[in-house]
Amino acid sequence: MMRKANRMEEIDAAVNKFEPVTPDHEFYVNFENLRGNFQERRVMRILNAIPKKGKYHFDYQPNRYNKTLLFLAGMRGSGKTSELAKYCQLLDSPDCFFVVTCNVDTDLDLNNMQYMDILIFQLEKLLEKAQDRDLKLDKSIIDSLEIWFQERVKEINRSLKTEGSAELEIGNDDAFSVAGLLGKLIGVTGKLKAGLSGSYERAEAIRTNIKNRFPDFAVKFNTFIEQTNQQLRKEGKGQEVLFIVDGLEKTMTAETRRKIILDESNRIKEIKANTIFTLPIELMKERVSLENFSEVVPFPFVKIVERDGAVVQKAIERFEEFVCKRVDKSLFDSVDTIHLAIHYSGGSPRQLLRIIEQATWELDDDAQQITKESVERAIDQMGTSTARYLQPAEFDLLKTIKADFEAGQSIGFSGDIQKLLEEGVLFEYNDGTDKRANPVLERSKLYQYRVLGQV
Amino acid sequence: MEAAFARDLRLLTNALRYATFRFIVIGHNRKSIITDVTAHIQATYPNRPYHELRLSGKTYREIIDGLKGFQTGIVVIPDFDWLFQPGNESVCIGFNQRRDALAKLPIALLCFVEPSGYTNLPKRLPDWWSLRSLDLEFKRETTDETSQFLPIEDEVSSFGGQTKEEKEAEIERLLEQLEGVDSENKSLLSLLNGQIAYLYNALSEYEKAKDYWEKCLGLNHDIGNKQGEGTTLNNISQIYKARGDYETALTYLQDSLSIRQQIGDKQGEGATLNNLRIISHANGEYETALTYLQQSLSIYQQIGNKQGEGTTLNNISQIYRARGDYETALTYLQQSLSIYQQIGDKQGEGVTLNNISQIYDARGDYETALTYLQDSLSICQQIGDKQGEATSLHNIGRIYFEQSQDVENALPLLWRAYSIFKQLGSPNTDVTAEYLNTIREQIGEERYNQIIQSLPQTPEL
Repeated sequence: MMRKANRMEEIDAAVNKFEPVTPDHEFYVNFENLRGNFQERRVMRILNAIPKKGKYHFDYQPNRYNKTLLFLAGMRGSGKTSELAKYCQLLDSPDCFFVVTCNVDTDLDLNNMQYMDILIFQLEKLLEKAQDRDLKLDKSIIDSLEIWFQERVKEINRSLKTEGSAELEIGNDDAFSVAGLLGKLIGVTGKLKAGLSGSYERAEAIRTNIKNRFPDFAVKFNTFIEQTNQQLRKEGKGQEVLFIVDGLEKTMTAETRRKIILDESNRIKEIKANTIFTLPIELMKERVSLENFSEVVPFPFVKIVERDGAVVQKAIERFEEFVCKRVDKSLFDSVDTIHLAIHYSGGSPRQLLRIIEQATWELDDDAQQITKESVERAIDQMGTSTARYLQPAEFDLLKTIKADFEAGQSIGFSGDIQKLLEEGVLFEYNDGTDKRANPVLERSKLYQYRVLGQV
Repeated sequence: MEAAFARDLRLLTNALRYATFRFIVIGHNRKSIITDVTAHIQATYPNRPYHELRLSGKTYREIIDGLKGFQTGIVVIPDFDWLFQPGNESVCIGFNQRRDALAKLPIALLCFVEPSGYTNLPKRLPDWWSLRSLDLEFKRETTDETSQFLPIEDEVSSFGGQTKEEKEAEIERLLEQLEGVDSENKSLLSLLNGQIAYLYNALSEYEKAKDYWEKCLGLNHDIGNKQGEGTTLNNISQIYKARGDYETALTYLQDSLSIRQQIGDKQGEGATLNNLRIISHANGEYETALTYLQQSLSIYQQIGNKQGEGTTLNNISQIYRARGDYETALTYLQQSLSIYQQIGDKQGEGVTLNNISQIYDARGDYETALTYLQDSLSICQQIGDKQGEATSLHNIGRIYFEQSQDVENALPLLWRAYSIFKQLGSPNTDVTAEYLNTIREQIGEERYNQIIQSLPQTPEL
């Protein structure tokens, strides 16, 4: 558990960049309305969640045939996970959604993941949450779904047996089964999910079997979701299920991510459930195709400087709160030092934490405060290391982007730009058309020489 | 034989008038033509020695020795174009070089060649070609009666298990679930009605299936679910198709296609185009059927649906098979097989192996047909595809009986097929039952009962 640092030696743990914070965490800061064109209320409107007396409501009657599939597209470190955790907190209520969060990066094999894996995982998470909330689904509903899966397991086992691989070992009296009706079904889906993260042969056998039966799988899945929705309303536990699938951008390769989202779009379209997916940034260029069957909302960095160079004061204040919730203000030699770090964060919370962390490494062991000089040195170090990996052609591209930005032109997507975004060389703001070089890179001598023409 | 063949038959009869060497090439598109021409010649020249020689799998030495062994008479070679298959080049060369040695014998070779093999003759056997006595071509539009060769259904729904009892139990569960649905929840009502319809359809209870799909159609229409409407219209068409009402089936399919194209449901469009070919195929409109299938293939390739691609290639092969162009049919089947193997679709692989065997069966190459059927049976048993297993058993049993009157081996297989079909509630139950009755009539009640009573399962026929 991360705690606020009141002493120098506590800073390192307090600025852990890899632990996302949820709205109930003491470090949480709400950056609402500070991400340029991005508005939380737009996401809520897309989900048909309407604010009433400070709480969100979902009226299922007019929206029952209108399932939302929303892709939240943002760069790594822009705070998507925290944002999604906030949505979960805001929307998970009897009057709104029964939110089922699925973190694919923690539960599935990131090296070898396909859309089928995510769907089975979603189902497993829904069943677990339904069990936690003691949702009383009719026995015939559970039996129907369980029998269908048991049949598939038998087929998978036969196929594995033929190939000489170990079987899934799922039976009716399976030792892994949890008690109760739902538990039995969780036993099956849990085993399937475990199989997907196991050996390649086993994972492939599971995927192939269910893919070959996909139209039937979609009917069973959609039926189960509708039946769950009905039961949720009956028991006053929610209006409809909403899946939040986070961590897709963490899968190992861009090719894997592309396969999951685009190559599987025909299958994604067949699944009728409200779902928010995080969209890997490089797939923003496919926005037009995605918008044929979904909504795509860019989730940019917090904007701390306007196009004309004016500082967005509110963003600076919010970032100051962000820093001071983690590191006591007394551990900085001045507020200006905090502001300097904020300026070079470029609006990325993760980069800001990295600057602070590296600044502490620049200090002697007995230092009592983070100084302006240590922050400057950290920024220079980060800038140099970012620039070191850039090719001359990439500097030329940065030069063009800078010129376009200064001329007030929108900057679209291309393979080269995408690569720079993925590597954190470029940052994007507003709806994604506003792109600028990472501010730490601008400090590097190479950037100044190749882009700005300064010797 | 048909009046249209009269002139060619007269030519053939005259060419065989004297017992001297003849090399006669007969193009054909149906196995029944081989049987009919052979019967005609045998009836015309009842006292001449008559032989049949199959080339498939033989070396050129075995072929030559076989022919030399006959010394005299009429030799029917039903699979002469086997020589032109890839890998048989050396057999071709050897056979071509032995022309003169064989031409000294008073034998008449009636060499049957399929349409796709015809053009290979001058290229692959130039010496024989230059010496040909006569070349004829018999083409028959009507498909050979091969109704007893059962195709495996490749679009079996996975709802509710495999057996009739399991499916009926699932219907009960779904009906129970229907009762608990709020009448306004049309989306859920449509999903449940649809599943019940699939199950009734699988049980061949077409009226009930149609009722539920019609309910489903109305519900989808009410909620504006165009995708569901397209799917349901497509499904209803299959009920009319099963009843043989192709005109109504066609109307439903065209409505389905129109909706699916309108909403950009590519997957659905591919499936409906595939079903449209069945109607054209049944009406003998092969070109139209092929156009639908090519469109479907292109869609599946475009959206990367390998399974759909495999199914469509399989369906294309069936058009060529119906035309009697077995070589092209085999090419498509091999492509389909390769795709199914690539994506690990064992059921598709089983279906394709069964279809390949059907081609060899149509060619009269029963040995190869049996090999493919055994492979298909083995896969169906591995994956627990009961329908496919029973179909393969029926087809193997049928070949045993028809080709060698091997009733001791044929009957247990057909009986097992019958038991499985009956357990599944399959419409093939009647086909196999009818076939078993035919055998009973042929071998006599006593022997039939003796064999049947020695079998482990004895359901009532």
